[in-house]
Amino acid sequence: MYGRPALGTLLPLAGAMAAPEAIPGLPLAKALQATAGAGFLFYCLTACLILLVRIRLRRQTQRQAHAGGTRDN
Amino acid sequence: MPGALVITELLLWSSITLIVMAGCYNTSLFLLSRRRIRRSRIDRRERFYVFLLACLNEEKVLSESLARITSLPAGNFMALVIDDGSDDRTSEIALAADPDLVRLHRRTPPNARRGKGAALNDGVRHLRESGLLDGHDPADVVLCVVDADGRLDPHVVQSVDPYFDDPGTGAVQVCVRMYNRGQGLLARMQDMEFVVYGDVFQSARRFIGSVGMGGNGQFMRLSALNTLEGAGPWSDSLTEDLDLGVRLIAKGWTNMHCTTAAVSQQAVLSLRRLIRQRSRWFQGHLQSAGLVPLILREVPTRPALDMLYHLSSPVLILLTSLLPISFLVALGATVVASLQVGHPLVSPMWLLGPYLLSFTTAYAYGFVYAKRERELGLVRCVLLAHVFVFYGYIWFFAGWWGFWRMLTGKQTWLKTART
Repeated sequence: MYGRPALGTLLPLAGAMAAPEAIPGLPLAKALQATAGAGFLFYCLTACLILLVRIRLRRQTQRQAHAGGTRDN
Repeated sequence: MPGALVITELLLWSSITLIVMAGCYNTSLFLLSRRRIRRSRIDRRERFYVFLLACLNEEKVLSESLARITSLPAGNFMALVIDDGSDDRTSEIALAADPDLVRLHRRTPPNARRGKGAALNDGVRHLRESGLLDGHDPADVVLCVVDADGRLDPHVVQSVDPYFDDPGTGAVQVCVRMYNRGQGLLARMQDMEFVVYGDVFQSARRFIGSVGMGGNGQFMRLSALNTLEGAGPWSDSLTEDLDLGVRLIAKGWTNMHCTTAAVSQQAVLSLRRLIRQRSRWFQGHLQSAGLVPLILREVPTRPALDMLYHLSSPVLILLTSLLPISFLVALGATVVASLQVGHPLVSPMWLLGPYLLSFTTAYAYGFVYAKRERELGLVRCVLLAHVFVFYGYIWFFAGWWGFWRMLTGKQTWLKTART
């Protein structure tokens, strides 16, 4: 509910991507960031599917309303 | 393996896109929240206000809340204390209050202690059956949910009433503040959190049509509640307020947010209790995923998109919780490696990017908070907002705890204790 501010308060790894590869620990840091990225891609895919379902549901509703209106006439 | 490298790069950039998306959303809502709503009274009707207080062992805070309600400078109102099976002096305190303005409804086992939603539903049922609302048109009856520790602003009815002039308004949420915000940094952070939520996100949602309900200081038209299906207006969800707000919008009602009045509640002063409280909210938010089909079917596109984003924010919080860990690992490793070679491996300017991405919001939130807390001043509020950025991390701990409880099927929660 009140989590929204937290989303804007991240300490992302944008800077660390430019750091030398030789630094130990960096592969783990990148793996964590990549996991978050993978999760976000899955989130986007789910969001697209949900929006497709909505478009379909709305079309169905419109079609039913249209059919009802035709019968009334 | 160039293929694997490409995939890794794609995933790294995907995580950055997540931050950019959240940043764009927050910025858009901040800008939208700065717009003013002009309101003129169009339908001055005499409305009857009923304050509902669902109480379970609230002897420490109830008398103060009732004193505030009974001294409201409004003509047509009453308070209903719903004692949900308390074993302390809650009922005695309610009976000791002005009998013309305060009524007591006692719930007894086995029906008592089944959650706030059940208690409120029973309170509404009692109102209907007891004849207390006889002679009132449900469209002119406004119910207000107040927590037992809630202290309403004296002008709250005058501030909220004009919103109900519009017959399409189903509910109005007022701002929430912490009355003990002077008692330490944790209380101050909670106050800032609610101010930012109300003055930025809720205010912006008035223009989107997706204002949410907050449980405390939530005013609802009785005729709007009557249109909701089910055993009563409130569900048994852990976040029944969020649930109710969404269902009202789905029924075609408009929810509004009132910025000129507030209800003050008690901030939690222990970090452990705060995280537990937020875990409960988080778990309730996850349960609200069940509202998605309703939103897809019934809610217009613009509010639907915002509500879907809002309902899915727990997922984003869990995902983004990995990023600070990633940053700390990278930062720690860089410091250790720099000490080993005897010179810094990266320029200190490297920290500027993460700072800007993380703390730019602090300036906006500090500005918003300074408008509410003028005696603190802008500079102090911006500094506090920097602490607030770190305070936001409690959602990461609370989120994983709530997620774990959901996975393990745990539903029962102890209410947050008053002090």
